[in-house]
Amino acid sequence: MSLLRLELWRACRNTAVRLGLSLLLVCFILALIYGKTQVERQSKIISELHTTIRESDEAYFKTRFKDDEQMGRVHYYLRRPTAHVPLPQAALSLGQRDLHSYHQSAWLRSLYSNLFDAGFENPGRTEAGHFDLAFVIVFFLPLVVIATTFDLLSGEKQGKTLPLLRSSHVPLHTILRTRLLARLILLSTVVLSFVATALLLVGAGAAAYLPWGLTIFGYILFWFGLCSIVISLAGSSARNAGLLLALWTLLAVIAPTLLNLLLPRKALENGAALTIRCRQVVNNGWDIDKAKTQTAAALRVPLYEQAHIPTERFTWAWYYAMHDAGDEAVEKMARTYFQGLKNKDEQAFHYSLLSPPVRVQLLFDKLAGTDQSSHLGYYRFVRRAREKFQAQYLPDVLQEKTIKQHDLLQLHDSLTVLEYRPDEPEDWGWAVAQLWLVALFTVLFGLHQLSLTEKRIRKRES
Amino acid sequence: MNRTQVQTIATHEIRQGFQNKSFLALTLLVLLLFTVATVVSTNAHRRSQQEIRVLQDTVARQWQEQPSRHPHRVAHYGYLAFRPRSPLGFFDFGVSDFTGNSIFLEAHVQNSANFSEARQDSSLLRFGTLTPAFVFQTLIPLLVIFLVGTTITKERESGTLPQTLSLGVGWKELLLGKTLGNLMLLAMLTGPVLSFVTLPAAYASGSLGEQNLIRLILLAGFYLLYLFLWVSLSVIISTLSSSSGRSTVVLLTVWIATTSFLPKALPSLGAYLHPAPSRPEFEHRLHLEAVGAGHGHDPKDAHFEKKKNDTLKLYGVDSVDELPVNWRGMAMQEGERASTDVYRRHFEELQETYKLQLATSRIGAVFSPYLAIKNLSATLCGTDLESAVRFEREAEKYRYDLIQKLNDLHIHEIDYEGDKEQRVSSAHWKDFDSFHFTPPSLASDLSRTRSLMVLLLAQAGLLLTVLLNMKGQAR
Repeated sequence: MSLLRLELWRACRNTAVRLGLSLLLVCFILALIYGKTQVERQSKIISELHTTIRESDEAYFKTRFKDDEQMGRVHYYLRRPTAHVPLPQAALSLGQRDLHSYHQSAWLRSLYSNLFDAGFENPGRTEAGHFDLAFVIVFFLPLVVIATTFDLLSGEKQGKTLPLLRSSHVPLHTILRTRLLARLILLSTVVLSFVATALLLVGAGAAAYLPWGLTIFGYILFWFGLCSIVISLAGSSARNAGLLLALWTLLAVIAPTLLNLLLPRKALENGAALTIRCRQVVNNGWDIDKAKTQTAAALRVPLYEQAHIPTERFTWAWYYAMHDAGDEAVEKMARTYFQGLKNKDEQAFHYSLLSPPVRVQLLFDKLAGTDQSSHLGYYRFVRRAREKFQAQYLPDVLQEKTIKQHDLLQLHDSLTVLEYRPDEPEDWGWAVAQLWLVALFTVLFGLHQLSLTEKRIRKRES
Repeated sequence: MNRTQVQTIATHEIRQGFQNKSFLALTLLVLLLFTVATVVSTNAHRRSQQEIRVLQDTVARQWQEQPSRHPHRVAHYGYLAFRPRSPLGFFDFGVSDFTGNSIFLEAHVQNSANFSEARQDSSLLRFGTLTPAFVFQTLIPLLVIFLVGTTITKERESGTLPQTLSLGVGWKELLLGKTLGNLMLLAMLTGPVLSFVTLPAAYASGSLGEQNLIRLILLAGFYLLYLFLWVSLSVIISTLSSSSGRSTVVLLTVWIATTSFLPKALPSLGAYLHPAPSRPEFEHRLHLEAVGAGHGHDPKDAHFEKKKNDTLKLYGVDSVDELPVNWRGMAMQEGERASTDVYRRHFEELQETYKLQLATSRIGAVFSPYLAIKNLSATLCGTDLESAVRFEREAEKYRYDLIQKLNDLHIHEIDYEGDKEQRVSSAHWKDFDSFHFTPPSLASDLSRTRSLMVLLLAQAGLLLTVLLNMKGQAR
């Protein structure tokens, strides 16, 4: 115990440890500020969504609508905003929030005509990724672990103090293990307290702390395990640093690109082909028998039975029935498309076990509710929102009601943002456990290897 | 400068390199990765190219096969423009995975570019894609650090450095010889494989035209310069370092800072400093302005009053129903022009903000040759942001021309009386050209990347000057 206390004290005074920790803390703070501003900005956009749409629409209604406007025409423009509200902990790992739009509207027109609309993002920025806390932990934390441990033994060799260390009554491997433990305690205390503070600052719920803490601690353990294996080889500082950084490059830089090769890369065709098909079917409605379109729509949405079968050139009921026909025509394609995205995402998560940095990044996204599956959940939410919107407002169109300006604005006021909040993830247990299994295996192997160090040095000397 | 000495040292370095088994093994590994990267990205690139061609052809065919329709009906049926892959895109994906692949073009509104590859891929894509450019920009510098990073320290540690210097070899000759020797060694080892792999891939992607050949040659030249930067930096750090370990650690820190930290941190900083509007905010501003600019569907809109009076005067009639042309179509045309003006202004403003966001990365290129070569390479391969924006501009121009041409049909082929009941013959749809994207010309790409080229040359010049004027410690 006193040895540990001594090593802790020495680690606190070590330049590499101090420098590493300070740099890490600076990065942490910057990353947190960035993540927090991004999430706050998105939350602000969401909170203003209703007012923004209301203002645009009001200006339009006032100049373009009659005082007694047909509901069918009104609904061409009217939409109910929905939003994928970020969890507070999204500030720690922004994930895929910049790729998928977090705001879509539900309306009476075709679901697939606006479901895939992209949000505005600078592709140059998106390509670079986010400088968020997740990035700092996944990429920089291992470097700090490496920088503070790689010369634990070789430094002694270079400083010519190794013989002194070996002549001590405490076995060499115990000294090395204690040193590693001291650094592990120091580093994880700093990192975990920072992350806990960050979670507190962003306002995450109590349930968030455990999975975040376990993931990060498991990740730190993994890297300490790798470092102890390399240290036990009793090589020079240069060799250790080189080897560890090569491992870092392999796991954090090269592995993800190789893992991605294992996944099927086909999705574009389905998405764009779906849009083309939907548009084709909707527009063909103009050139085929109107009664046929509307009867077919009634089979899917019985509400359409309320409307008379059109004999005139145009009715709004028939117009929206055309849109429903478009949705119906691509329903199967859409299911395949989303299933494909889901499968790909699950496979990626599965393979990520081969590279702990990838697994940890994906876990962070999952815990922050910013992963692919939360976005797929949002698509389902928008779909349900449209169904509800249709159930509520289509009858007005079918019954050919009209609406006064004043009532229209009142109706608009009721169309507040429908918020989708991803559930606090609960299925993290097994994913974190898998990470821990890898980490524990590495650590145990490292500890075992450390006990062989003395033998290795002796063999080299002889 | 003693040229013979430089030559002798360079030859010695090359010979030694060929004897360094672990270096050769590592080189083999990098070359293997490069080959895998080329094969995989060429396949992905070609598949995307084909898919886009099929989709674009489908849209063009469906357009032509339309039955007789009212022109404005067709304006709402619209068109889909697909972003074709740039011929050299297989080498460097640039931002192309993150920009939309298709835009739905219709009357009155400008839609977003949807279905980016990244959005339809797994989250792993966010870690980067294995492309030949990735190997060049990120992994080959590692090889250099491994080979050259200890070139002086090792000699100092083994005691051969004082010997060499005592033979009358100057520092200038020593360092230059080492730099050139290692550069040649790397070029000899990697060059043949790189060109052997890249050229067939370029041929397969149909990119061996004259302009693309110039692009390839420029790429080769600047990647060689990039290699020189890392080799000379490694020699300099190795000369300044007290031990091999320290030298390697310093160089790896530089590598991490310039290829991982800055490229991630700077665009985030840019986004933090210059927030860009979200789509709802953008559309909100656009709507408020466009509402005040006249709406094509309302021929009685007060904004068209002047145009209406001018037209009536031109034809010498008193009311629109006496006109030999269809006033509704003319109103559509006017409305389209007005709303497009508003949109284009806002679009360009948005692009300016994006440029500002990325300006931090451009400035960062002063400290990170990686950022300089990354931007340069993407531009020369036609996968940079500018090329994506150009696609959006061209698609918008195509949209505008298409809609206005349909409005022309509306004006001349549809009578004012009973407007909506009429259709024009399907033969008209064949008169429309399909969308064809012209990528930025070589000249415009070169003028955009001139500053990056100058920067890389200046960085090389600076390192060379340092190299020729420095002296290390013999022991």
